[in-house]
Amino acid sequence: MSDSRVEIERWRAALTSDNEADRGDAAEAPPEGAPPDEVVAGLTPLLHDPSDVVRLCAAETLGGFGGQAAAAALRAFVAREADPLAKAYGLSSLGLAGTSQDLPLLLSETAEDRPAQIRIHALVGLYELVRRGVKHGLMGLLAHDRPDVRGAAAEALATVLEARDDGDAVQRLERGAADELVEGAREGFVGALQRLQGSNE
Amino acid sequence: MVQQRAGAATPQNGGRAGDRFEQHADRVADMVVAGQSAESTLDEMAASGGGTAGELVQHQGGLPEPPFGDEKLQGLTKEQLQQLYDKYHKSNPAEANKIKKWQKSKGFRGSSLKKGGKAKKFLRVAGKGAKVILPIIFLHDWYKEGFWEATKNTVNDVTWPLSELWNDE
Repeated sequence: MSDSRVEIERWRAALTSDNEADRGDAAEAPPEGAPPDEVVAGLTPLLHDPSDVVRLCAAETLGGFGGQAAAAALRAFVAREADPLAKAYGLSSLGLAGTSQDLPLLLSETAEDRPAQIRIHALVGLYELVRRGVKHGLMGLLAHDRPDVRGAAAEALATVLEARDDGDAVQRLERGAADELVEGAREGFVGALQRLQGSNE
Repeated sequence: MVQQRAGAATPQNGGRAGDRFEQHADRVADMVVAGQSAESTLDEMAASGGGTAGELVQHQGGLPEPPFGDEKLQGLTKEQLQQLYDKYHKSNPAEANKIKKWQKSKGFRGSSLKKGGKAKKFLRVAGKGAKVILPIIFLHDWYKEGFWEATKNTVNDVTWPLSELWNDE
């Protein structure tokens, strides 16, 4: 048996461990190089795990893998999930793995009367889904029969992809980093600023 | 006995969180020296929860104990949460998962805690290196000292650097 197969079998065993922390760790970290179909098939049953943290981790990882099977499993998951944080992670994953049919749900979950964590993840899911759809559509138009359309699509793609000056968001994060008194929350502001500065260099 | 009620009347160091504890301790000390009852002042701190977990860790030099809730985990850094997660991963996985959930709620996708991440990575790298290096050591020793001596030496080479890692709990 190859090293990677041994690692996959070890991972599959961890998915059914009696220790729920082991199941959560395994759900978050499938072995590198494992066939995506096998990972999705292994994680999908964990969306019914008794532990909300394990369900959350499985939903998060499924979003990263994508595909029709993952999207279908995530749709059913967000429809039934009672834990707000686990459902929230399901929504951002649906944005990564889903299709245009998921737009109405994601949009509705961004409403102000929804729990804050659900709004955060639904907003990101919505953004990811739209971004993916826009990019895919414009890339398709790069091969259009008419040269003027191909040229316009290329410019439109550049406009969508180019780095934007989000000065107002950066300013708000800087103010948050300076004013936040709770250390754990301040880490979030500082980390976000560092990531933004890194991506602009 | 009375001082145990607030649980934070003996600050050990300064800093931003220290100001509140030190001021409180000074007020209590002043009242005791003046012969007054400090009970109500101690109750103030107890009623306010004594500060966030991060403030308490800073003053008591230890991490909170289970059962964990938001109030105990609030204010802890990711490193402190990681320590707690590793500590309870095996002995109390339900409590370990509460810590992971807290990290998931205050972070975003990809922000998480995993059991002994650094040690496992070291073992993976060491394992791959050992597949190349150990046969060379073995053949060298076999040539110089004979089969049994070489076997004994190689087993020692394998086990000594790893023995400390097994005892991480």
